Amino acid sequence: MNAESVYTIVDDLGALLLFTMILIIAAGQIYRAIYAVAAQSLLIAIAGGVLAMATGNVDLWVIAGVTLGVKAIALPWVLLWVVRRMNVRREVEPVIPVAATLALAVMVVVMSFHLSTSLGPVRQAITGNALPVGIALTLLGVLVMATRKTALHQMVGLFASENGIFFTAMAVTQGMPLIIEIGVILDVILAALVMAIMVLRVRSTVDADIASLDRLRG
Amino acid sequence: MAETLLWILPLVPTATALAMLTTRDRRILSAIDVGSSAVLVALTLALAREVEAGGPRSLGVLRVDDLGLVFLLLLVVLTLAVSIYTVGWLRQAVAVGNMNAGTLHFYFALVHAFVATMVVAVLADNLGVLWIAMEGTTITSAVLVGFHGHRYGLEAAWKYIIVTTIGISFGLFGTVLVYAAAAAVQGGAGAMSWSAIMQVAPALDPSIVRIGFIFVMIGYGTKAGLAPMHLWLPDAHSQAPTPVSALLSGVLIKCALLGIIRFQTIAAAACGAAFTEEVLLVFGLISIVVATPFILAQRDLKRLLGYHSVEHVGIVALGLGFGGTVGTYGALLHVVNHGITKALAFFAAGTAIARYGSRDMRAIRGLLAVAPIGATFLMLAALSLAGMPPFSIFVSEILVLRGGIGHAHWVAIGIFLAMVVVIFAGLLHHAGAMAFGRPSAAAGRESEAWTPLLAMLLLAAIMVLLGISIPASVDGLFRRATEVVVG
Repeated sequence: MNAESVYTIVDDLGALLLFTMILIIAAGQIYRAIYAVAAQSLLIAIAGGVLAMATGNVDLWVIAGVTLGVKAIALPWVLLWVVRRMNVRREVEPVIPVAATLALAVMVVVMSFHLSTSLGPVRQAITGNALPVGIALTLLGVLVMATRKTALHQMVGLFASENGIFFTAMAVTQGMPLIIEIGVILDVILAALVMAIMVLRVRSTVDADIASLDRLRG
Repeated sequence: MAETLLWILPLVPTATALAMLTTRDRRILSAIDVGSSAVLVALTLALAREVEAGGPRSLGVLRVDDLGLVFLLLLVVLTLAVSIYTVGWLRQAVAVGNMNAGTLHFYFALVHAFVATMVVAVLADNLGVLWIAMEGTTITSAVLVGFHGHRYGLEAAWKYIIVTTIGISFGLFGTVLVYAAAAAVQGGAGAMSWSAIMQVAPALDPSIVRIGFIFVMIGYGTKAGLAPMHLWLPDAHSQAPTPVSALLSGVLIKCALLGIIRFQTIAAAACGAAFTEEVLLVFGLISIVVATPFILAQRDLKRLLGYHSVEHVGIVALGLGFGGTVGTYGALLHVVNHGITKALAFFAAGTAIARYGSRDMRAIRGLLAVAPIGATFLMLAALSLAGMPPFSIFVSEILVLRGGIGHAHWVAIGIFLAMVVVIFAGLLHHAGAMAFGRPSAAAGRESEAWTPLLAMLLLAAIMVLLGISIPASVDGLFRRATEVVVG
């Protein structure tokens, strides 16, 4: 594969990643958001595979494989399991309407592209439009966590945010050292498990969504 | 020898955490707890001696230099004090039903896992390992914050894990950017090692490091409790079991500060010290100003101490922002002084709260009459936190101030002084009202347990000692650590 076609493929994947992010933000029901974040992780794994083929970096294959197994399959499965356990029927309204969140999201994307064009000389070390897409995904994940009141939506936002960082790391530096990436993924798994346990624990003790507890003020 | 100690140090709390799972007897658990913490202190002192004689040592992704040693010493001393305190605190908590006697082994295992992640965070040379360890501290301590299991504890734990995980994602993003800049200069191999990056730091691309540093500042700043990212801190500090509050406030937020300092040194070399100083100055001032009204209006004793941590982390950031040798020395000294004093304050507050069965400061009255020794420690801690001489915080605040005067930051100094005076009055008002007066009917009259008092005595002794005169060996350590930061 020549460098030109790799750039094109990474750019296309970046566009698809942003599209899945829009799906996550717009998703009314939680299982749709979970499918969207699983698709997003799958795209990240494909991006890792493409870059691995282009650069011959074996570590990237491992990272792509782990991303596929953990973030595209295992974690979404855990989330769906929690959804079933909680038997969610009613949908909680977001803090601000979805349309307004989407408008904000567009602003974040534009801002991310603007930020990375202002980096001038640095962009030459970076594959295509990967940096602005990475920044946008990270910030949009945070936006989801800030505007959604349900715990599971917040966890989806967290995974999307981590996806953005992984994409940036892959495209900018052909991935961080393997041992670090594995450690980061391990942390994400542990954090997800602890969060899932907390969500179920609150459900069983006070019958409420953990994120809608709001007694601690001032 | 020193290289061996580097990998033994994180191993001690890890092994202890596993050993805790084998028994459920409270006495045996407490004995392992205190013993392991004492071993940790002894090993750290041995390591400090080696480093003083032979300079920084590294082993793989771990490295110890004088800067790390300052934080490591604070960590192990506070861990020991917390272990001693826990003995008496736990007996009381189990007796009144605050802690479930059946799950104590999980509690102790988590505390030591938490300590292990903090040891790795302090000793990490690889910036990726630093990040992994910091996220590890979040996971272990989030469970501890919600350990009481009631809805407030779980709410605080959820807020804590979500806010700090968002924050720390920014930290990872910043780490990736700095790594990209370093990899462009020296190739991928050593580009995540702090000591290797420092060798080439002036050659790094300034614009990408600048963005990276801002991301790191927001990321680790969240974990350090700098305003406006401090939202998790008052809740977590007030809802966690008291020994955990002391560890959070005394050590954890300081570990995050160490992360910021590591990146500060890189960014200062790459884009000039003026840039990093300005960023730190702004965050420091915001923290001090934001914390003040909450301290004045607070009614919950542990929340008060939480907001107070926001203020003091702000002072440390301010000291680093003033820069120069004096400001940085003051900031590092303040890290230790605040850690020791705040842990003492949490210990004294925890015993008072247990006695009155309430965290509301309006319910705690006449403490001096029912628990004279504990009340004395509470007053000492409050006086020191407020910045009274001859206690240690007075010394470091003066040094930070001198750093600011040296660089003519008059506006920042004005704001800083105004807030410190207001907080001084507010804090002494709160503490005086609790200590004096007629004890309410709810106050328990039982005699004071001696192990918590012993832990408080240990910390109070260090607090007074560092306030009156800094021993030559400690002074040397701080001077060398300052050199690491200022260069």
